[in-house]
Amino acid sequence: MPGTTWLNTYFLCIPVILLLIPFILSWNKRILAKGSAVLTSISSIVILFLGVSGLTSRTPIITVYPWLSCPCNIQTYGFPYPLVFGLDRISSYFLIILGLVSLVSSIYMFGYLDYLERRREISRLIINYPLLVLFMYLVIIVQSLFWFLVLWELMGFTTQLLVASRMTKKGVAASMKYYLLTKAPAELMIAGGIAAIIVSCGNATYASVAQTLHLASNHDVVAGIVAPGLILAGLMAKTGLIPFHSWVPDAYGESPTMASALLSGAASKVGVYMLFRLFMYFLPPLGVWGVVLVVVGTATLVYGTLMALRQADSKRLLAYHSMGQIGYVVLALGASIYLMAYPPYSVILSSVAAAAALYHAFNHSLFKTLLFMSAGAAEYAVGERSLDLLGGLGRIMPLTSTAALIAAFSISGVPPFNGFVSKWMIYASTMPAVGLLPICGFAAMFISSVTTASFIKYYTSIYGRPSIKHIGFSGEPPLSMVLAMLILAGLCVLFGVVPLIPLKLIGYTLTNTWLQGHVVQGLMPAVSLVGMNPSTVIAAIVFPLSGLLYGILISGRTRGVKGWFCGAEKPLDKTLPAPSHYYDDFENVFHEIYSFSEKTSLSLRRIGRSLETLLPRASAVFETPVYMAFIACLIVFLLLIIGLATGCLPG
Amino acid sequence: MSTGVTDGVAVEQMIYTWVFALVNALVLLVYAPLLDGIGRKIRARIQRRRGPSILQTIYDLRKLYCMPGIIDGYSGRYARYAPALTMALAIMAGLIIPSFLPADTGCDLIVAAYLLVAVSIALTYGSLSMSIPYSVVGGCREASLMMASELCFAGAIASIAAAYGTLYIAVASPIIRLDPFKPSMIIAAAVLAIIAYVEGLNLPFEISEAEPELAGGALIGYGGRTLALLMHSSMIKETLFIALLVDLLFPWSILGTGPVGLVLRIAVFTVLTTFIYMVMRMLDTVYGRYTPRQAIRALKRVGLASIIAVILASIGW
Repeated sequence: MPGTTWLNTYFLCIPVILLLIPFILSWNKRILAKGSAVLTSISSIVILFLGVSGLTSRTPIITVYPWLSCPCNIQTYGFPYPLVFGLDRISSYFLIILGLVSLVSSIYMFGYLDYLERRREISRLIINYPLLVLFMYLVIIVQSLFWFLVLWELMGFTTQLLVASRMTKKGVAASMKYYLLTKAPAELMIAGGIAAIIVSCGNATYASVAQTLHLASNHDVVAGIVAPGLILAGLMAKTGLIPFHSWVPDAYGESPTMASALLSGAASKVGVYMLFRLFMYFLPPLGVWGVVLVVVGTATLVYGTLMALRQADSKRLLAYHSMGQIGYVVLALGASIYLMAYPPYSVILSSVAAAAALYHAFNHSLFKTLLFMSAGAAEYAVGERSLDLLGGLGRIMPLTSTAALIAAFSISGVPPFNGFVSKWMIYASTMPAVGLLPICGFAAMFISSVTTASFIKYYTSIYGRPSIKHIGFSGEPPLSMVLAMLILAGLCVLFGVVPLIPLKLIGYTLTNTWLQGHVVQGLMPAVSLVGMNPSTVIAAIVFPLSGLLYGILISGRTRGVKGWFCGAEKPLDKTLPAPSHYYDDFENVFHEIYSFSEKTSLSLRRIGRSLETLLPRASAVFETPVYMAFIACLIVFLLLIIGLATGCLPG
Repeated sequence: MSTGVTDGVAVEQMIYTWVFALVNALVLLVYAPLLDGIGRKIRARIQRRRGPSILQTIYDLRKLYCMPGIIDGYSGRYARYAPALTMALAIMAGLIIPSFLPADTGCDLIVAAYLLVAVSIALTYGSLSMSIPYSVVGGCREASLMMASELCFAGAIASIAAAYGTLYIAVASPIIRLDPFKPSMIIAAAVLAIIAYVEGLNLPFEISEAEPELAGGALIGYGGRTLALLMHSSMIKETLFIALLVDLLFPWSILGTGPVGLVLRIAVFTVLTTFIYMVMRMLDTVYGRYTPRQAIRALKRVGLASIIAVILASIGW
């Protein structure tokens, strides 16, 4: 096999072994708590290393484990799908995202564990957390569609357990909602799509599927439309795209902070990874998928962000923004396909759009993980998530508040932070195009201002204005939590100021797609401001200039005085407008969008009411092995369907 | 050898560009308050008052810059840094948006729009970090107005980009120059003019400070030189919105190149921006203030017009 060495073969196994240890050690919770964080950190470093080496190596690293595929000599019964692991450049890029997010989340975990221990919420988290990292890792490196499905199912199962790991009523409800909306229907759709592809191609390994689909998709409706459509619908549910989005705010909101960070920062990218592989690697650029992705991406970014604007719970606000930002990624991915499928076939704009999709996925991992961590730090300090009751933490936690401010600027696309560069590339590739794209680019740019307003509310309510609730906490959160946030804040600045570093990695990744050699040309528009990236120029001027102005005019020469507090001696905290009402006027004027969303959520609430009656039983089921057995049965059922559909098992 | 010569020309071009950009930014520092002074004079004349000297705003700013900074003592940490960041972003926008001299920094409409909006963002973060209710109400209104005006601004930019296939603002050749014969471009030009008017905080859209009803709004927590920095940067931003409109509407290539072209450009730019500013101030004087809801609703209608412009531009009209 190409690129196979002893090191490559066994190096891929290291994270698997390390991440399984916490599961094995689960009998001793004390050893397990910190041990889980250490092992996940080490394996994350290995994952990161594998990602970088896979991306920069000349040949893909492919490792076949035939002995895992047929432990009972299944091959003799006609089971032809060997377990193939490998690192091509698409996998490697997403491994870097996974490695980075899981590394900082694990560092954060060291400090956050004390908080969870105080609340007795630790036990399930420390087992499921490394397992989720493990299954995400395996989903990304597996190179066989059949085994992808199996590992994807296990990843979904672990996610569900992680969402419910606090064992609160809301957490279990969120977990059940996740199950109802994503697992059962989505898995079946993905299984159906994969079965159809395997039948069409006669093989399940990625390389041969890509080769066959490129030829067959133009004339074979099943291979080009039906199968990708089914897989897309399943992936839409998993990544929280409209109309399968309603599990996202509950699941991200009710999970423990580093689990939310991992779900939003990395798990959502695993879905994006498969979308990218499906549409940029398996299939040629087909116009219909460009249109579908562009429309779904735009609808998601508009809906998610407008809903985030009216949230008063810090984590729900971030969860809705996760939806919105994934919408940006999907819009850019769709734009890339659209630009190659319809005249005038702009390869350059298509490359910029594809690069923007990858870049924004990477950026979203950085700033959203950081934002969830900053919300977690506030929860750690005050034990509160409501923006109406938080405040005043900027004075107590200067480092955390600085990191949160950088993340807020980044996600808002304020130049010169990283979010600005990727959003700029999305607009630059959609607005000057034809057909649908300028309208979608317009929607994306408008929504960026809504994101900005939302994060003005988020930051100033937690770190800006005076606190309403008494803060019995002084100083920064534990060092590991601050360190994790500062690492991410530094990366948000670095990848904004020097975007050519990630763009180079993205250039390598895109050589693994149908864009191939056009990538370098495509990335040239990223250099437009007198031969440099605008972000670099802006950083080189704005940072020193603002520092200079601050040093000369403000620092040491500005005094704080008592403001006008409606005649009172001190700020009357309750006279300040509540953050939940900051944008009432805007929401009132744009009520059409909100009333539409209320109608859809009303119907979901009806389902929710019936769920509530099941809750006590559901929590009991989570405590017992019955649920495990149920999921095992589901996996076997899926395998049977595929086996029967593909003719591997006798009918 | 030829590569060396080409590189030399490129370096020389880059030096010219940045010298021009620096001159533009420095002149704007004086020109923006001067325009404000002209505006105050016009308002006074329409109201049959004598009014202050047109240099009064410059005197006011000088006085404020000489005073020590004052800030709400209970505010968050960022509020102290906001004036410096706001001013730095305004100067940056002044550097890259072509104004008096044709500084071809390669600026595109997105970068220009984001920098101009970033000035408002930096200010709003500061005002919402205050403990003073008026400041928070002013900040909320500023942010709401920013979202509504961005709806229109994004539409105008998208329609221009769709019509011309580029976002690049040219200073010499007419890469983007609004075509008066395209319906989409007529709407885009009108929308850009409205945005320049709204961002200049002219009545009826001046809702964030709204002094008669709020006793001061977003800026109330600042005094002395911190207030001077914020007021000054708001004036620069307002002037740059007008500059952007002039950049896109005027056919600069007819002025020619060389020293004569430069002098003509300075004259034309100054006359046009002053004229547009004066018209805006006249309108400001005759209007009453909208409530926040009315202001956002009005901008929503303009936004719908800009969506129509995008659709027309994407089908080639």
